[in-house]
Amino acid sequence: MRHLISFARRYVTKRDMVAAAATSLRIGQPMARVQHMLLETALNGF
Amino acid sequence: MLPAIAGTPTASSRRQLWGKLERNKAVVRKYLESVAAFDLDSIGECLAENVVQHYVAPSHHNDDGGRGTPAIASRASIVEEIGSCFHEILYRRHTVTIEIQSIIAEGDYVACRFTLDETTVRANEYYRNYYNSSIVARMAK
Repeated sequence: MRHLISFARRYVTKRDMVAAAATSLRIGQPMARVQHMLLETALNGF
Repeated sequence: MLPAIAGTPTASSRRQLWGKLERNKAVVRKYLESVAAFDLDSIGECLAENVVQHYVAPSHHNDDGGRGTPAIASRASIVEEIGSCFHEILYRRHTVTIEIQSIIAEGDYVACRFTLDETTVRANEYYRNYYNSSIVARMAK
């Protein structure tokens, strides 16, 4: 475990951590819920 | 050293704000991915129970984006609407793709431009919808 942490400290950049956090937000349960949506579109000739 | 100014964001409050904005964008991304995949359970997970959806043409102008426009209110109604109309009336199965062009968050608001490509049920031809959306997201309850 200590080796792993030292490896992570050496090779995992702040940017990687940010990307990992963003990914976990995407794949897990949503932490927020949508309360209101306004969808605007033009359906020309649909 | 400069004196601290009241209300100046600290590193911690900036991280907290960043987390909130990313969290709100994440639920919008997940919602759109779930719609494209026609995953009704996942769509439901993204919505508050009392969610309200307005669907308008760009020519329909009003100040608050809501008043006077037709609305679908409640998670159950939206899931039911998508479940019953999406492939029966509008789009052929397995032809829907959604691409987010830009997604911007501020406070509780997320503004998202996306395209929805599909083959229509009616004419059986390729069609691209361009969407502008304004979404309010809050911490899950």
